[in-house]
Formats: sequence, C-alpha cells, structure tokens
Amino acid sequence: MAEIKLLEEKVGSIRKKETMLESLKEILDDPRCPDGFLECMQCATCVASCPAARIYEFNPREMMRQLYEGNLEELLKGDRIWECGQCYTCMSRCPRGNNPGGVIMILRYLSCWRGHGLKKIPYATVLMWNLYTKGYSLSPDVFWDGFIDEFGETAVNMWKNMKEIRKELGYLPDDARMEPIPEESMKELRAILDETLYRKYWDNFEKNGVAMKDLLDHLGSFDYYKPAWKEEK
Amino acid sequence: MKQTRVPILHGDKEIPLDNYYFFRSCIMSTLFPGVDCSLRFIFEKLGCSYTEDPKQTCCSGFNYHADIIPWETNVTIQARNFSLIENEEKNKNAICVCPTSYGNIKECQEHLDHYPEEKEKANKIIAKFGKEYKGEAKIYHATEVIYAHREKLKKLATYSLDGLKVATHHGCHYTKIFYSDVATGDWEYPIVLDKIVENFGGEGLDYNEKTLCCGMGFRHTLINRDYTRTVMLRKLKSMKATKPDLLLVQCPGCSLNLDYYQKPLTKLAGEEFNIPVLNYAQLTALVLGADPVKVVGIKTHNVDVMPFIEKVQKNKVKEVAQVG
Ligand code: SF4
Ligand code: SF4
Repeated sequence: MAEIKLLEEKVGSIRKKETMLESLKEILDDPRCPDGFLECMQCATCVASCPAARIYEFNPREMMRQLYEGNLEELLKGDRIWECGQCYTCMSRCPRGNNPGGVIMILRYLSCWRGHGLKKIPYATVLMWNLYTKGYSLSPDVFWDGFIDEFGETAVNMWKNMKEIRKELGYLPDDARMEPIPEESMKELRAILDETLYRKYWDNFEKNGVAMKDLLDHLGSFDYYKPAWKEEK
Repeated sequence: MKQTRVPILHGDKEIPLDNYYFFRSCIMSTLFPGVDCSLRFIFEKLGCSYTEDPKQTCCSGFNYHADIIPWETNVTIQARNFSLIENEEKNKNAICVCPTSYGNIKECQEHLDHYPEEKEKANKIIAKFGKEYKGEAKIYHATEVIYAHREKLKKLATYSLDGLKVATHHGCHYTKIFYSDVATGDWEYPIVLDKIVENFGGEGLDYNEKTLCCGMGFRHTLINRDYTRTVMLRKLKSMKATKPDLLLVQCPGCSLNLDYYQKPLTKLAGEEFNIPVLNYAQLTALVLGADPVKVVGIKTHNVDVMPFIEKVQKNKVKEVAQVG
C-alpha cells in the first residue's frame, strides 16, 4: 500500500514536471534562455542584488518559482515583470547560472506578443518609427514634450540651444551624427526590419486594438514635473 | 547567455593597439557628441588608424532592452553591421563607445556564432543586398583602448590629475553581461576607469554604491522615472560622501542620469550634489590638451564642468599649445 502511494507520488511529480516543462516551452525554446534557468535553488542572491527589489515588491526569486509552478500567464498579465531595470546584476551573481533579468526580458516580449504588455511600451510609437526612418534608436529630435523639463532650467535652456551647440561640434542638429546614414544603407536596414519580426511586432499593436496614435497621446500625458512620488516625501 | 564563471586576472584581456572600427552610439552622439570628438582627438594623437563608417546603423541595443525590438531583428541588424566591419581592409576591431552597444553586439555575435542555423537565417536576409557575416569581427569598449594605451597617453599628457579625486561608475552592460571579460579588476570591483585616472596622477575613489546600477532601466528613464530617481539618489549620496572633484563614467545612459538628475534631486536629498560628470574619452582628451568647448563638448552638460577643468589646467606638466 505504502509502495503504491509512493509510486503515485512519483508519477504525480513526474507529471507535474511534464506540465511544467510544457508551460515553459516558450521560454525554454528561446535561444536566449539561460543555461541555469531550471536550476534555480531559490537562494535569493538575485533579490539581494537587485535595485528594483529595493524599490518595489519586485522579487526575481519568487518569479522563478511562479514560473516553475506553471503561473506563466499570470506573470505575463501582471505589472511585476515591467519593474526590472535590466542591469543584470542578478545574472552575474546567480550561483546557478540563471539569468533572471534575461528571463524577465523574454517574459516582457511574450507579454507584448500576447497583447497584454503593449500599453507598457507607449514610446514604441516614437522609437520604433525613428529606427525605421532614420536608423537610430534615439536622435536629438525624438525627445517628446516634457522629457527634459524635470532636469531644471539649465537643461531646458541647453536643449533650446542644442542645435547650435551641435553645429559647433560639427554635428547635424536633428540627426544623431555628423552625416546621416546613406539612403542605400537605410534601404538595407528597412529590408531587415520588414523581413524579420519587427514588422509583425509593429502590426501586433493594431491587431490587439492598441492604436499607435493613442499611444502617442498617452506619451504626451506623462507628467514629469509633478510625480506623485515627489509630493509624498 | 552561455558563459562559465572564470575568475578575472588583472589585465588579462588582450586589447588591440591599432586598427579600430569606431562603432558609434546613437545615445552618445545625441546627448554627448563631445565624447565622439574627444575619441577622434585621442586616436589622432596616438596615431591610430580608425574607420568611421556612415553605413553603420544604430545597434538598436536601447530599443532591445526597452522591449521594442524582437531578438531576431536585433541579431540580423548586427549581422549587417558585422559584415561592414569585416569588409574593412584592416580596421576590424569594433570599438564601442557605449556599454549597451558593447553588451548587445557581443551577445548577438555569441548567438550567431553559437547557432549555425541562426547565422544562416540572418545571412540569408542580408545576402539580398550582398552582405555576409563570417565571424571575424572583434568587439571592445573604448575605455579598454584608452586603458591599453595608458603609458603612451601619459607621455602625451599636457596636464596631470595630481591631487584630484575622481569617483568612477562603470556601466552595468559593460561589467555585468560579459562579466568575465572586464579589462581589469573584476565585475564586482571594476577598475578600468580608476586605472585611467591613476595613470594621469589622480586618485580613484572607492564608495559604497560603486557597483550599483545608475537606474536608467531603459523604459524607466522614459516613462517611469520614480525608479530612476530612487536608485540615483542612493548612488549620488554614497558618492558625494567621498567628496569627489569629478565623476567619471563610461556610458551615455549613465552620463545622462548621473549628470541630469543631480539638480532635480537636490531638494529630495537635502544637499547639493554638484559633481561634474565627464566621460572617459572627454577626460583623456582634456588631459591631452583638447579644447574644452570645441572638442570635449562641455556645453552639453547639465552640471557645470568648468570648475573641474580649471583645477586640471592648474596642473600643467608641459608646455604645449592648446589644440582645437
Ligand atoms: S540567484 Fe539564481 S539560484 Fe538564487 S534565487 Fe536567484 S535565480 Fe535562483
Ligand atoms: S536585471 Fe532586473 S532582476 Fe536582475 S538585478 Fe537588475 S533589476 Fe533586478
């Protein structure tokens, strides 16, 4: 009797492992999945090292556990994964060769593909388009209204004169560099963006009913001047 | 990331002394073009051969960590950039000015080299416009180049940093992604920048939060700045306690945060920080006698750098006319 129970338990746990692996398939199949992903020993070294964990209830150790317990979808729908600061301190310290920051990045992309995370990346409207048209992630003309305001008068005035300052250094006022990327190279870049998942990622917004234009409005409404957090203190 | 932990030996990374492909960064050239100008000034002083290639596109590392560019696209963009580097006659050593470029393109290269089928896939796309990634490009960060040339640079110096105290901050994407590849020191205690300071006679400071991230967090800096403010406050307070004359940084993102946030955080911190911030290339060019405005580009800084420059200019070690 006892033996049968033991066997049942064993079969149960094997089954659990199978379902676990099934639910984690998308992460395990991702070429960036870290070697030590399945070996997390819940030591919390990552948590102790993590700047985001000091600020929020964010906890990379717990997230690893939630994943093993099959709560992938829940994680993808939640806010937690968006709190990581992508510093990779966790990865360099994890004794088991796991990379929580990297796993979180995989989760964020999965979340966006499912449609949940799209509102978390409103700047996509500006930055994805910028890469497509100019070949840069950032260039001097992409800072939207209010971006610089928080940094005080000196910064605001500096940015008013930025075109002149850049010219003095031999740089183009609105382009990142001294010379724009040649049209031929831009065609090559666009071919890459069109033929890889970039285009689909872009289309994914509309597909999930998130209009790029609305995101742009949303972006302009970020109040850098008076963050609630500042008032509290 | 496939990597095994290897203990770092001081200075065991081989860094080429010539033939550089200047791998430019969109954030650096947008926010601190003076860093590019300083680097050109240094290359010319050293007599190094380098290529500046208009065809090189952004590495898209910022977008990648800000969750708006799929990995497959990121890798293919790099395959194209690598093919440009490989096509160079001799300048095949990519020198990244930005740690996120360094971490990102290194990660892409590792991926392409590790999975032949992925390499084939990327090559199939870029073959349409006659490009091919073979696997020859070598990737370094510009701080490593300055570190490797330190002896020669010391001889070329117009000023010394004698008596000046410098707090350093190394970029997380330089020290923590490829942690066994830090040029000197260890990722837990990186000292590449400190060695550059010491080489010119200054003192590199130790402070509690030396390895704490700057809090940039990509999306956080764009739309969730409470995160950045909190991390930055902790970092700046710990740094300020050691009374630095300068904060030396390695990364355009870190420079943006560490320079721009000092003023808005004054009220919250209950103290003025007022620590001038320079990048590795700017400091080196300055010590070599470059013009603070026309080369070093100090007009793009939020905290006034002039007080520090005046201190440096008092330490003249040789008579050389200022070069523009
Ligand atoms: S440091 Fe590594 S092993 Fe420890 S809890 Fe974090 S992910 Fe798991
Ligand atoms: S990468 Fe993310 S999870 Fe890892 S230590 Fe940094 S903020 Fe924390």
